Amino acid sequence: MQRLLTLVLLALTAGPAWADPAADREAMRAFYEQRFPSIPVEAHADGAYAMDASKRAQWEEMEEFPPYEFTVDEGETLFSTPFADGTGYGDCFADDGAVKHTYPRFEGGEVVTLEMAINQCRQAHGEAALAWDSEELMALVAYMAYASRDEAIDIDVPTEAMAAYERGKQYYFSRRGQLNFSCSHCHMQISGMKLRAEVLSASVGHVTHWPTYRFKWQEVGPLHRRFVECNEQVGAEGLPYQSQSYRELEYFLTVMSDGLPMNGPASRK
Amino acid sequence: MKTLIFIVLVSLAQTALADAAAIIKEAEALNAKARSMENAWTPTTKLIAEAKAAKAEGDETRASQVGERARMLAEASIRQAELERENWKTRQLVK
Repeated sequence: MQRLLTLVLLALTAGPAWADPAADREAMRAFYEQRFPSIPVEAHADGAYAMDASKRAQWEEMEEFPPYEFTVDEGETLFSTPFADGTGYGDCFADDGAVKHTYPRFEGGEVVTLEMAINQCRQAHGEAALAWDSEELMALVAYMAYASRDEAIDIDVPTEAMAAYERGKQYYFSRRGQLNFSCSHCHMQISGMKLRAEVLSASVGHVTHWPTYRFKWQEVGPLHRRFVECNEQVGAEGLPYQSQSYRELEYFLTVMSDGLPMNGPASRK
Repeated sequence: MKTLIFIVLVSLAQTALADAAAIIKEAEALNAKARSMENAWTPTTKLIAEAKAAKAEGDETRASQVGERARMLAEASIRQAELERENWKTRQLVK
């Protein structure tokens, strides 16, 4: 009887067995260190350009005249333009907006990305929320990313955020689409190899350089747009920008890149 | 005899019509279920559109065939989502 009671008590008190984000991060870094012994983990912040010398040389030349420069300038102007109530973004974001390295955060029971925080700020001051794919929002995020350059990613996973973190991890490792690929298949298992002419990048460093000017897009776009593309490339339908699953995936990826310096915005092919 | 053949032909045509419509409807329902699981596949949606276009053009055979392919893909996408609820754990680094 006593044993039964103990078992019942244990069952009632035991919560779900959460993973340890720090252990996950160390394991992922060790994986890439072993896979690419000549590439320091921090260098993966440059994506595939860390792995291919000729592509890197081309990219460095492109970065001499950064195609995202006008977007950053526009963002800086928008950031310093006051709202109708006389306040501004500076009242919501410390350090003149150099806070990109601290997002996403877990607040109010959900993962809050910088895009969401900007809209929350606007709405708190009587302004309309910006569309997730609007040029204005991209410009603001691009400016804030630029202001945050070289700051090390600094993301916490409090206990109450563990379920969201775990769902983000599940999304990353789950097969999807008709091609039956998970994120990890491309960006871990066959990272460094080529799909047609493109080198597959490592997941450590995936979030450091957003928003990004992609020559394919001919404009600066958000990380979630890239998620949609990745999904579609394996024959899966993409999700809406800022959907819960994409925010949690961003959270997981950012935790994996914790400590790496921000280098956004950037340009990519 | 002629009347009987006529009735049989009309009946067969109606069955084909009903089949194509029913298959497309089922494919759409399954694809909607996959989408609600955030696991719809792009080829399924394309095939459903293709089946509908064939039906609109009066090509019942093609509508049924393409609709059936869409239905099978939708079923596979649901199965994939169900399997991955557990299988993803085998891929994580820290188990």
